[in-house]
Parts: sequence; structure tokens; C-alpha cells
Amino acid sequence: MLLLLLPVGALLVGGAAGNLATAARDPAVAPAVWLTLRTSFTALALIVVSGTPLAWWLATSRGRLPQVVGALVDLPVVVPPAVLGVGLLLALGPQAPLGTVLASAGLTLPFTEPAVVVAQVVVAAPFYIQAAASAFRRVDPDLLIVAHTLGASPPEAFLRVALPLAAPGLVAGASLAWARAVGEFGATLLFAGNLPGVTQTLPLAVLSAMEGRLEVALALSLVLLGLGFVALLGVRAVPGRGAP
Amino acid sequence: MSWSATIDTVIGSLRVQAELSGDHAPVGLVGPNGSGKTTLARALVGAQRLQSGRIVVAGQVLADPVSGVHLPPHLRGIGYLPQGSGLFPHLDVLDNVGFGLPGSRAARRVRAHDALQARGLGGLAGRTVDGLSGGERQQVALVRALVAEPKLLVLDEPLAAMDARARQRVRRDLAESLAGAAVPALVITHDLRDLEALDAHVHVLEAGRVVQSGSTADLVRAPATAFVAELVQAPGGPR
Repeated sequence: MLLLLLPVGALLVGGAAGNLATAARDPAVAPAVWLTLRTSFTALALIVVSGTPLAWWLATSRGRLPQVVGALVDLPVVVPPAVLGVGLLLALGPQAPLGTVLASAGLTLPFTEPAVVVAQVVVAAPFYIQAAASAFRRVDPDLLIVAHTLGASPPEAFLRVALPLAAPGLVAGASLAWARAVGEFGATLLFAGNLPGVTQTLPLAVLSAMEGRLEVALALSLVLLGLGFVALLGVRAVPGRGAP
Repeated sequence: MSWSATIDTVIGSLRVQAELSGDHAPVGLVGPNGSGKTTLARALVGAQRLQSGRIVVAGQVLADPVSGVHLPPHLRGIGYLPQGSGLFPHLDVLDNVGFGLPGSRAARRVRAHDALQARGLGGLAGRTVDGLSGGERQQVALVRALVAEPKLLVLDEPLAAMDARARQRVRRDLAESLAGAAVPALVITHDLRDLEALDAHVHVLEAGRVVQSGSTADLVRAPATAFVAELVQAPGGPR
């Protein structure tokens, strides 16, 4: 516990708060903040839109396939983000078949803002999908049968019963995924680079500031710490049951 | 309105095979835990596929694996009350009762309110599900199922987990509601007194098979198995 609190305490007592004003005047900070917010919320939207149906399928399907898919979805949690970044470069880089197809359509992903979003989606999606699947598994299957017998089609029963009942779990998972996207570093660095104003998110700005602008690095670290803390408070504030 | 069901389905290691039929009079199903009662109920409503057999309700074939018919639950017109009432905890009483009705939410709530009042339950209209007693939940769930005008009603342990007084009151209410609505019903229970109050034709299910059928008086007169003998000798059981 002490070890967990050590870096947090060091940032708080190390004068990081006093450097916030200095950091605010640093020309690299504002673009990094806006880029981080823009990309993390875009990534979150993509994760929720594509991850919710997948989580529902994982929660309600039986057999080996959902188990295998579930393990694949979780893989980014245990694989170092830098490895995922290398994988993304290999899959979507200019030399890769998929990258060539995208390039012929006039799209180049690596070292662009969309690459930041892709890296954040890959790294953060498992946190949402796991939480959402777990929330869907807790919905009493009898309630869905009842909804059907009252005339609700499967999509209607999902929207009117499963989704609202699982909503607290979905919100908690979305908070965690967003926090993970904000803090994403390794995959972004390798797949999107560290280009100020283009792909430099807050964690990458901390890395750059460590070379000669320590007070800015400290202040940005404090901002990231605060964002993470707010996201976790959000998770804990979610009630145990959905509202109507 | 009549119904008939020849059911042959498998859940885990249990194979459930039963022939049931009825008209306006309620049909009862009793059996020990794990005998396949809930599986049979789910097969009727369409949540469990048949291996073979046929389900016909009001002249419409709902399931017949030989001809490839398996109507999904939302197209069967069968009402279902699962164990524990099955009320949606995220909706209030009016939204629960109006769930299966057509129209806007406001229109559904008006009709739901009327339906509750018609059964003397208008006082429950503004309540949340959490604030209802076990008996009130069953009454609301029954109103919700009936306003959808089902062709058959399947009730799985509708009086379980209630104290003796509530059970007696809800049992009486259930008998009146089913008689008033003239809806055929299959009532699954552990307690023969529930079926005696409904004057139901009773089937006894053990290990997935029907071992005895008849009125509660028939079961009392000549219990076919040790389970039935135990059932009719239960304290307060039918005589």
C-alpha cells in the first residue's frame, strides 16, 4: 500500500502543484491537453459503440468460440503496450498489406492523430468490454424471457431491459477505459510517434518535458494523476442499479 | 381457447418429456426440485427448443421441429410469470404493467393505471418495484401479463417465498383473476393447495416424466409414487 502511494505522495509534496502555472504557459502543454481529450473521447466512443454488442455476445453465447474471442479481447491487458505498438505498425504500416490498401485510398495511419486513437482503442477496449460483459452476465435471464413474452423482440428487450440494468457496469467500464486511453503511452509512441501538436498526448508530453523542463513534467504528471483519480471516483460513484 | 403441448427437450443431463393440454380450466404441474418443471415452462414460452414434439395454442402451431417451426417467444402470445415475479427492477409499477402495450409511454401508463384499478390495485400505481411486498409483486406481475392478452399463461411458482397469509390472499386473487380473464393457464407449484384452490387438473412431474395426472382428489385417493404420497400428506395439504 505504501509503495502504491509513494509516487502519488511524491508528486503531491514534490512541488508539482506549484508548477501548474509554469506548465500552463508552456507552448506544448495546451495542444497536448486538447489532443489527449479529443483522442481519448473519440476512442471511448468507438470502444462503446463497437464493444457493447461484442460484450453482449460474449455474455450471452455459449461454447468455445466466445471463450476464445474473450481471451483475444483481453490479450492487450497482459501484452506490453509497446508490443501492441509494434504490432500495429506491422499491421497498418506503409509496408503492410492493409497499410498499402489504406494508402491507395489516400489514408496513412502511422504517425497521425487517428493513429493515436487506434492505439488508445486497442489498449483501452478490453477494460470496457470485460466490465460490460460482466454487467450483462448479471442481468437475470428470466427478465429477458419475460420481456420477450410481453412482445419485445430481441433488440427491443436488449434496449429496454438488458441495457438499463447493465448501465452501471457499462458506465464503470467506460470510465476505466477512458482513464486507460488518457494514460496510454507505449503503443502511441511506437505507432503514432511523439510529434508536438500532432500526436503528442499528455503522457508523451511528460516524456519530452523530462528533458530539461522538469517543472512542466511534474505539473503534467499531476494533471494525469488527477484525471485518473476522477475516473476512479466516477467508477465508485456508480450506483448498483440502473435508473429508469 | 385450448392448448396442447407434446414436449421433448433436454437441459444438461435431464430429458424432459411430457404431454399437456388444457382449455379455460387451469392445469397444474407439481414435482420435486430438478424434475424439469421450469424447463418445461421455458419450452412452452419458446426460450428452450424442442428436440421433438409439438406445441399448439389457440389453433396456431408454435413449435414443431419436424416441420422446422419454432416461433420465438415474442411472437407466441404466451404470458410468463417466472419464479420471483419477473418485474423489471429499473421500472416503476406503471411502466412494468405497460411494458407490453402499444403506443407512447404516456398512453401505456394510462392503460396500465386503468388495468391496476380494475383489479383493485390502483394504490400500487406510483410505487417502485423495490417498495412492493412479495404478494404485491405477484399481483402486479399477473396484471402485467394479463393486459398483454395472452392466449396462454405460464406461472412458475407464483406463490413461492410468501408467508402463509399473503399466500392465501394471492392464491384467492389468482383464482379470481384467472377465472375473470378466461385465460388458459399452466401453474407450476410445490403446493397442492394452490392447485386445489384453482380446481386445476394436475400433472406430477418426476425426473422429466409425468408420473401421475388427475384432480387433487385423485392424487389424494391414490398417490402413484412416494413423492405424491408425501405431497398429499404435507401439513395443511388437500384431503
